[in-house]
Amino acid sequence: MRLMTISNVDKTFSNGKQVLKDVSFSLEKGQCLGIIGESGCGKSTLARCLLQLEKIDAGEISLNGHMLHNLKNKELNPFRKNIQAVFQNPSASLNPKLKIKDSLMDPYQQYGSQKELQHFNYTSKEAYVKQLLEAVELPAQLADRYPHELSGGQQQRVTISRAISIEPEVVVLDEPTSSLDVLSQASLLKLLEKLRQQFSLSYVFISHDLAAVASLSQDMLVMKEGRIIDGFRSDEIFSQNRHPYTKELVSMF
Amino acid sequence: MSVFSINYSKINWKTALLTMLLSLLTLLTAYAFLFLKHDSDFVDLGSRLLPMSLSHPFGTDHLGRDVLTRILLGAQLTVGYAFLALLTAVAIGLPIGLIAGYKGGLLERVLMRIADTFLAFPDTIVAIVLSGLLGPGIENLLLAIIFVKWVSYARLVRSTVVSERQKEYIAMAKINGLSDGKIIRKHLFPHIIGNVLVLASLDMGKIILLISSLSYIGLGAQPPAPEWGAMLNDARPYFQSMPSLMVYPGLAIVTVVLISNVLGDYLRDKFDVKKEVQS
Repeated sequence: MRLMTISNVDKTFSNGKQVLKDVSFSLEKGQCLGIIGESGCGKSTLARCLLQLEKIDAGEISLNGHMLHNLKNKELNPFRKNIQAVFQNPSASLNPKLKIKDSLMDPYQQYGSQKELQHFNYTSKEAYVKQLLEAVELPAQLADRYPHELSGGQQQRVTISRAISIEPEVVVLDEPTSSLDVLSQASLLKLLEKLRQQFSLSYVFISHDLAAVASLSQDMLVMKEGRIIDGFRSDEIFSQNRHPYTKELVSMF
Repeated sequence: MSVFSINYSKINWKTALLTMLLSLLTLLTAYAFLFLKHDSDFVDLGSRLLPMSLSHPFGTDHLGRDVLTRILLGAQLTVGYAFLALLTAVAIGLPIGLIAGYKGGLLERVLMRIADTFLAFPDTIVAIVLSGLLGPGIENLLLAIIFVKWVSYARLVRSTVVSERQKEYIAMAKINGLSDGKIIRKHLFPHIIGNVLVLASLDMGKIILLISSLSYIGLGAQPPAPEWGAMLNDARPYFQSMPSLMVYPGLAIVTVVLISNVLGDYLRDKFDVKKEVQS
């Protein structure tokens, strides 16, 4: 079942630089779609466009058949609960002045009343936050800490638990492992895979890290200079039919 | 994050000093409220320039008025007016800085250039000019202070908002559908409020000094108001014979300015989430 469709998206910054050129792809339910590319190829802009943080200039973005790209902020609210995000820098993704439990409550306070949760059970704030932290394998006592008292890996787990806290359909992962050390990366990828199955999530996994993307995704797209130049199933990555740029990326890895 | 909750394991000399000064002030005010029978403006030429005694602990001034009464009532006047000026300056500066920082663009540039224009006027000059135009008096002095001080709050709030606005947690809040008002209240206010309180408590001292010094040269509070700076001025001719008349209001000013500075430091530490953990 097709969850998200992105067709012919163009995006030009106000300084005249065209960052996305004719980008099209679709996301199936329960799928993890990897998007790889080097720094500056437009990956993060694509993520921001998918999340409707940036307006696109041309093309269409739809979720479950509803067009999102031409909606105003207020009209987007019914759909926002189905698209969540995890960004690269976990310490910037959490408000340093708020305790973990308060940061975690944002999505629920906004959408909790509109959605019947399947996996989490809201009885009280404390109990709910505890469930969220348990889902990402963090001890419950972190709820009362401030972000700077947590390690980078723990912070990123907190942002992941916030992203799944209202059980969205799609999570856009923008370089979620890039700021972590190798061991934390591995355990985070394992966690993401577990959560995807447990909550039947779909991921758009954007990264420059070929190994991370390949380990999590069923399908992969390669981006270069704002275009998608190659697309394939993850197990075909070494095939001879790949685009020369893909081969170059693979050989560097 | 309660400002006033005291963790007894973390008491340091600053907290101790602050508590001491504040309780001293409270005690004195309570004393004035309960025991002082004198009227601050009561002139008794028969008992002028008396040294300290039980009925006049700080002595009397050149018109026979009780100095302690005048100092304690002057505290209400000086601190009260300084607080009023500060509150108004924050009430003007904060929303302007907030709008400029959050909305950005042309609005920000226009608002901040206006603020810069105000910044060009030194506070003493504005106070003197306003007294010249509107006549001397504490109200015009307050107007001058507000006129100059709101800018620093607008600039402080704007720069805080600008530096936080671009961080990803604000983007996350938008993804989570929080309205601008909610983002400001939940995510930006904790950053703003600490900075503003710290600056305000430091400014409190400066404003008290400004009120007192301008009253001293006759531009602020007018006689017979027991304003400390004005009291200093009244005592000037008797400095040789009766130096205590200048010492007491001077000490009062020093104490209050000191308290406001220590309070500023204390609040800065209190609102710094990171420092609280390290110490």
